[in-house]
Amino acid sequence: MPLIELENVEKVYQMDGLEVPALRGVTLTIDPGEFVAIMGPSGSGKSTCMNILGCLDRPTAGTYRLEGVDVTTLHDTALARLRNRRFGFVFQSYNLLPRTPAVENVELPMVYAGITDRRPRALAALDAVGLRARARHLPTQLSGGEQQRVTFARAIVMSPAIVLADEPTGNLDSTAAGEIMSLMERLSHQGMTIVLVTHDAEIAAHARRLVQFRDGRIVRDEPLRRRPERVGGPAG
Amino acid sequence: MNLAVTVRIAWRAIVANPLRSLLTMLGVIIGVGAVVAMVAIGQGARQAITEQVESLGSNLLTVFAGTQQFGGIATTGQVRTLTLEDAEAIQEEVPNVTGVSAELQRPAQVVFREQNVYTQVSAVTPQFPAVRNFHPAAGSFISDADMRRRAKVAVLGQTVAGELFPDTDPLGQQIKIRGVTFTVIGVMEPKGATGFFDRDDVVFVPLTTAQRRLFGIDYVRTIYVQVTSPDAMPDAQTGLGDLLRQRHRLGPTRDDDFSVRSQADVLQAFTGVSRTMTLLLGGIAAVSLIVGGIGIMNIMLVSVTERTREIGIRKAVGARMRDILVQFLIESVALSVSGGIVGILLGVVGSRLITRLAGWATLISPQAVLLAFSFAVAVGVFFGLYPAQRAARLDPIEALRHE
Repeated sequence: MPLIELENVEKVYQMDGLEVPALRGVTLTIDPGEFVAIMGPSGSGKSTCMNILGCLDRPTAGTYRLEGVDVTTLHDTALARLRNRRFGFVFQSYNLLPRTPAVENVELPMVYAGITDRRPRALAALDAVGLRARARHLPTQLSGGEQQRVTFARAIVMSPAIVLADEPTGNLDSTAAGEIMSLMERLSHQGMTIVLVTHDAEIAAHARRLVQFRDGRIVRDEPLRRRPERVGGPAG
Repeated sequence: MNLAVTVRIAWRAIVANPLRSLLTMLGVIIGVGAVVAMVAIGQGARQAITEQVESLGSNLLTVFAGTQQFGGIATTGQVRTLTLEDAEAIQEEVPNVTGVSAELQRPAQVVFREQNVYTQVSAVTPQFPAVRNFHPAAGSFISDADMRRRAKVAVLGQTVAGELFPDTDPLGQQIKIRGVTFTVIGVMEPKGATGFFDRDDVVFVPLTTAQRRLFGIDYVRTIYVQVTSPDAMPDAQTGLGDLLRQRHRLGPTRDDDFSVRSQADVLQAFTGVSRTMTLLLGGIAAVSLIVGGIGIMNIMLVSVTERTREIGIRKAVGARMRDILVQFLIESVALSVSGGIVGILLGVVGSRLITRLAGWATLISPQAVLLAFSFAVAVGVFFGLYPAQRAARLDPIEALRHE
């Protein structure tokens, strides 16, 4: 069974009474374990598509089945539960809680899941991204790359079905970006499904499949051959 | 999401902005402090009045001439229905009556040589000291013989004695009341003031003497009736009512031409006044508590706007609307509860200070403290609800984009 099935998904935004179409009929199927890169110019609809995939937004038309279940009809509380259990989010601007230590940021999804023994699991997740020693640091005491790795720890701590990464290297220098990409490749090796939105073709090249958006439609969808010898992308 | 975590999040948000949180709480602090202090003053006044009224004499029924009108206020002025004979009949015929004092008061000029005072002449019977719990300190009081002979004798209150006889012993001296010469036979013990009324500013003369020789009348204004015990009061009240109706030949269709009040009624009137005062003061204080609540709402709205991105993050990782609602609600309640606790301390210290500096009696009542505290909690919930709902309803995508 496919993990994600989008069928003719449309999204129209209302802006000052004007209807602005963002997605004009997107059909996309993602299987478990895939590592998909989504590319496209600004306004092509790739961010809108990511928001719909992550159940942060609802499509105007079309159907979205997650693990065979139609989620377009689900109530807000059920969507919150899906975001909590089935998705891990990584954002370009990290989006960590300020004035809150790294380990407590990683614990946050478990707080809303009602899990009580949060600390060991959060520390294990930080260990997986190589930041166990920085657990008590505040976000402001961490570098950009480190903050993004905390975000990854937060994204995987609930063992989700899929990690959605929206421009995760957009604010990072090439060294830090390389670390993040090797982290993603390692997660992919371990069987995690990853959808990655990026502007950067070199970053996208780490994925196994490339989806191109333009004007709210998918214009290209093809597998990528693995090129482990790439500069800046050491194999994980 | 468990409560301990939510409270910790709220606490962190409050201490992240200590000055702002303190200023926000200030409204509630002042409100709760004012409620506690104001009610303490009101209750203190009530207790003081109660003690004074009780000192006037216990188990006492008061019979006034005239009917009760205007919500329990008896119109006495010109009514001439009560007589000394009524008083004697009550003494003899109503069960459980231990003493009866018939009285008549008129203001008059009292002169001793070059000294003169304008005071209250109180015409009473020999039973007065026992019934009214007011005794002579020197000399003697009016006797039965004085009553029979309509003797021209007088007993002075402390204030009058002090003014007429600053440095001589008043006993045996001759004074003039309305031009009639009286001999001073006694001086009363000091009784102090009740409200604005100085109970020592008085001259006592025999009732019969006053009726015949001073005022030329045959009625009395008030009859005080002492009853054996508080339990016997209702029966005595009915008994003397029936007796007076019979003596005054009032048919079944006629209203009473007298009215009877117990000490409890008087007390009730006083406490009614002080309760109104307490409510008024408490009400004013409650208004400031509401103003404090508006302050909390204002700052919570600011806080929601400032933390829009945080709300977005929480929603993205799985917070439900209810989680966000509860989080912000607990934050506003934490603000108001902290303010409430500080306010209570302030109110207690404040009323102590008022007692010490102004000399007013204050009484901290646990109910008022509890009421003020629950009101503070309610203010936190009520004024926190709208900002919390705004936070809960934020669109996660919009919230995450917010800078």
